Amino acid sequence: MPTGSLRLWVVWSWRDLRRRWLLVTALALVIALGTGAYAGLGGTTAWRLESNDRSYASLRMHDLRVKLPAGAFVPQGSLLRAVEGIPDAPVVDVAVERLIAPTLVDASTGTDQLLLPGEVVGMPSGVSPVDALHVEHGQGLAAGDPALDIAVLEAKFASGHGLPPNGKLRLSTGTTLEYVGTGYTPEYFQVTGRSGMVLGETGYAVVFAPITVAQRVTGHVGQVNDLVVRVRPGTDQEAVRRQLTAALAPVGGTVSTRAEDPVHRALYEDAQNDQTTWNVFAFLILFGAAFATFNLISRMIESQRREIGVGMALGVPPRLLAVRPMLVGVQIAVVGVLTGIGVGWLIGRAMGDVMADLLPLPIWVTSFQVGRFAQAAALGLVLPVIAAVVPTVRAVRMHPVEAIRTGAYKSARPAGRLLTLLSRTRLPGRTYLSMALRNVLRTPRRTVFTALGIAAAMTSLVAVLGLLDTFTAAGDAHTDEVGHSSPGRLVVTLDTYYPLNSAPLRALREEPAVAASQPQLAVPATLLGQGADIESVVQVVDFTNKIWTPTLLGDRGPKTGIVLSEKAAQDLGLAPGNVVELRHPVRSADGFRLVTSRIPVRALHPDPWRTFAYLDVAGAGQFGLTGTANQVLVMPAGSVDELERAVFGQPGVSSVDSAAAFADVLDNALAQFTGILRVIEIATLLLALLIAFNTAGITADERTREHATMFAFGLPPRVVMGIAVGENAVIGLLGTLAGIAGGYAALRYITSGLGEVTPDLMVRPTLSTTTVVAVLLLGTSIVALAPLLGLRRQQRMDIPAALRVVE
Amino acid sequence: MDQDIATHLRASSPDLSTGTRVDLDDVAKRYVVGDSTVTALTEVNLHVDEAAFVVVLGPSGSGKTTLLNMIGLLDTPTDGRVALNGRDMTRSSRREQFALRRRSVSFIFQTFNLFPGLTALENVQFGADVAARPAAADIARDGLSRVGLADRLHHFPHQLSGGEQQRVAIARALATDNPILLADEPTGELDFRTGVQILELLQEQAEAGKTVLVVTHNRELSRVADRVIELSSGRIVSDGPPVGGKSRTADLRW
Ligand SMILES: Nc1ncnc2c1ncn2[C@@H]1O[C@H](COP(=O)(O)OP(=O)(O)O)[C@@H](O)[C@H]1O
Ligand SMILES: [Mg+2]
Repeated sequence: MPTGSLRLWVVWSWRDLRRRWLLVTALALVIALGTGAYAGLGGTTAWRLESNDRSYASLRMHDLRVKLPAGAFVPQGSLLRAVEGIPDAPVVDVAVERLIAPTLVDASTGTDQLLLPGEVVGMPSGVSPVDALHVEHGQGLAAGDPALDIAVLEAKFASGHGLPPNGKLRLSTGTTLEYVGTGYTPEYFQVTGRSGMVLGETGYAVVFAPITVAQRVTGHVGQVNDLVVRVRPGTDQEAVRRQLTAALAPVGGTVSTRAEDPVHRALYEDAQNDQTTWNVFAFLILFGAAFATFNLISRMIESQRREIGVGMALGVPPRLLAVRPMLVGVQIAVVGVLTGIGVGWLIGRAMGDVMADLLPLPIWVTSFQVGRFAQAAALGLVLPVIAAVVPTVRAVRMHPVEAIRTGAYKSARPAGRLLTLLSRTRLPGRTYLSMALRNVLRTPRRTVFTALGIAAAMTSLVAVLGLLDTFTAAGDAHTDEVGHSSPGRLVVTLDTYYPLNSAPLRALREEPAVAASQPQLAVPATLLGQGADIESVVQVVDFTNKIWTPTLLGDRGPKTGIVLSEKAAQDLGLAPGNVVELRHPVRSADGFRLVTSRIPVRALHPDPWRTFAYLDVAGAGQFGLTGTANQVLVMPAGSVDELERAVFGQPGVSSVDSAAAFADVLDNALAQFTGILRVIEIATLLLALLIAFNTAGITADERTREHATMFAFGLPPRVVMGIAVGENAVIGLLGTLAGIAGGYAALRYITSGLGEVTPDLMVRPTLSTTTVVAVLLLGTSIVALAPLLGLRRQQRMDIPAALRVVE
Repeated sequence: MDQDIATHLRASSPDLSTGTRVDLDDVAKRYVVGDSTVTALTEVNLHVDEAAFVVVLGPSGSGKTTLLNMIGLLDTPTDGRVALNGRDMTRSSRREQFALRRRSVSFIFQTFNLFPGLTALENVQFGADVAARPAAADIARDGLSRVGLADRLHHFPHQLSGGEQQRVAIARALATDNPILLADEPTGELDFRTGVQILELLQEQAEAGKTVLVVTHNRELSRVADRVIELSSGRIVSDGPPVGGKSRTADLRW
């Protein structure tokens, strides 16, 4: 090609670009959002794994941990001696004895009453060589004089309640501690509370104290019940474990590895599982962007068909003719990818911030995910070019005559037939609407594609909102079940099993602040299933009591049978009338031992938490616990605060919780989750806006001459705008409806995968009416109102020039 | 279209008297493209007082379309004054200009500019609708049969030949029943027989009391005019009755 003509083509495409820089930019932004979201949402697993590794390493998490049974203590030093006695003692780098004692903590400030269950962790003062303390605010344990009763309060509890970095704590033993800072050790990166149950970190107060202080304030002077060990790297930990287990058998100690630590396990498992959810969104947004880009670029090039036809008529080689439309694709791709890196960085930053907030770790790494960015960038480059190739090839392949004659509107046959039908049927209502409908129908393929682009954006929005709805619905279901009677009741948990006529139970019954009380049993039990076992708490309740009993669904089994949650039954493949295998403690001569029983399923209850199971007192004999209780349901006579204060510190009482307290756990979890979903929501809304804007822009371009003609006939601009708005409203409505359907499907897919993230919770895919209506209004109006953005352009239209153009 | 829009437009139109008078005083139109200035019209003085069949003659690029756009208020002059029925439109509001286009002038474009999404019937109906005429559908049917397209009512523009599209465009302009009719090369795409038919139709309009301005580069057509205005390089070079007197359409040859 001679240099002169090359210049012509370059200048020509430069002119093209100048004429529609806004559209090119807006389209590039769609690509930027799609690839950016893909890259930004894709980093979480890598970030979390790296952050976990480094956080655990920095605090020197234990390799093995020895735990004595609840309530058992041994003299300080005896656990260390047991370690020294094992054959592999030389490979043990370091071992540290600890005292971990449950307690009630009064962290009330001048204004708020805060009485919560918790535990005191007695550990070495100074920097512990194993499971060290990370100080978030204030000072660590090294700061004070060991003679003083100082401590560090668990940081998530403190920040959750807005407590200052130092203050006073009162324990149920009657002692007072001065806390000098907030922080946590590796086992408390997440706080799960007792018995492995998911308890909100704000519902459980962990207090770290020098071991001597801990022993003094909990009344266990000179005693320990816990030991953590780090072994030399590369040693056979299983062997050390076996030897330790054998050495500690007489005191009933159990040994667990780092990987068995529930928080450790959860953090690593979540890091993998979470990503699945974010990937769904990353793909949805990417798909929406891809679809829209494809459709819009195609339309842009479709409108150049006539020029291509003229070129072919003049004998210009097709290869050369393809240059101009292809250049448009390349321009969009380059601008899109460059911007996409910025958008990806922003989304990644936002995600990182939210994650760090959600999972406080001493070290958070949110490094740039080069690989994922490269994938997204490659896609962002290829997509617009392919989108340009298809219509270009189609145009170049066409017979020149056809290309010249084809008005932009000569479309597929069905449109013609539909239109003919429409031209004979009179549509009711405003003319604008009928004109708008006609415009929509005369190009059905374009309408469908545009609507699908919008649908794709709406799909991820609906999925996000649906996810929030789903969790809210689960929370509501729990609250409804717990609160269907006596919603103001409290659960007083005792420190062990007491006979019904014992002093602690009598004291509670006779307490003036208590209006009514009902003793019950809560026994930890494992439901045994084929696939996986379910940790649960069986509550033995008198089903004739007036305060509260569970709702029974399908009450078909024997009256002495167990009542399982729907989720547990579903996971175990059981129905009322079937028999469940249960591993649970029974009282024996010298304490408790674990046995496996087969108990029939009586009914199901609707609480979405599968942890809860119920048994009528008639069945209590199966636990060998007849006539005892370790919990009391109480109705306060006056205020809850009054009752808490009165019961707090009574002998045998280990915690007082509102029955509804558990609902807060979910609310808290949800509130944090919301942060991430907001990031996605914003990205999705932006995408929908951009698609709507681009659609309106391209449509306006295609209609310039028509609009000029209407103006020439004196049709006022607002009527012309009205037609465009009506036309877009129809497309927006169709797209949004499809998006809602798609979003529900995506939601179902996501929730089906949530089983691994939140195995204890029954999540039913739920779309609230509010969400559906809001999305419908939002989606339709965004698209409908997009043409208004072109109002200024329409007003400045050069009517004679627009009319003169022979297209 | 529905009755609805007619009512709507009627209600929103300022009360402007409609008539056939057109006045252009010292009108000029210049385009600045880069360093050069294109003079499309200059020193144009044109006055049409009453119903007449006026032909504007001139070679391509002489400013004929620009002149029509000035009269139709689609374009604003660089200099001078355009008045319809004595009202200076160069100073009028956008709203007034739109209203006047609905009530006073109608266009027949050189490039037809039919709405591709509307059938022939609907395109014509559109004209009657914007002018807020009642029974628009009947007017449209009538108009199409007058241009010989009674059997093509439900065809879309892309299903019609150039000449047929031109006739639909003419029917659409006539359907407004506005007093001033502006036709840009209306016979350009037509064969002789249809061309003559269209001319007769336009002549009828003038006889019925309208101002009809027909732009053409075809000198033969000017023979049937009441008045011929000749343009050259944006200037009016002659203005008067056709040379050799007014002929009948039957005598035309081209
Ligand atoms: N938007 C414009 N920019 C520059 N020049 C223009 C523009 N519109 C028209 N012209 C010029 O004005 C002159 C008159 O144009 P026009 O009225 O269309 O001529 P005609 O209709 O007689 O063929 C021509 O020389 C044309 O090139
Ligand atoms: Mg012209």
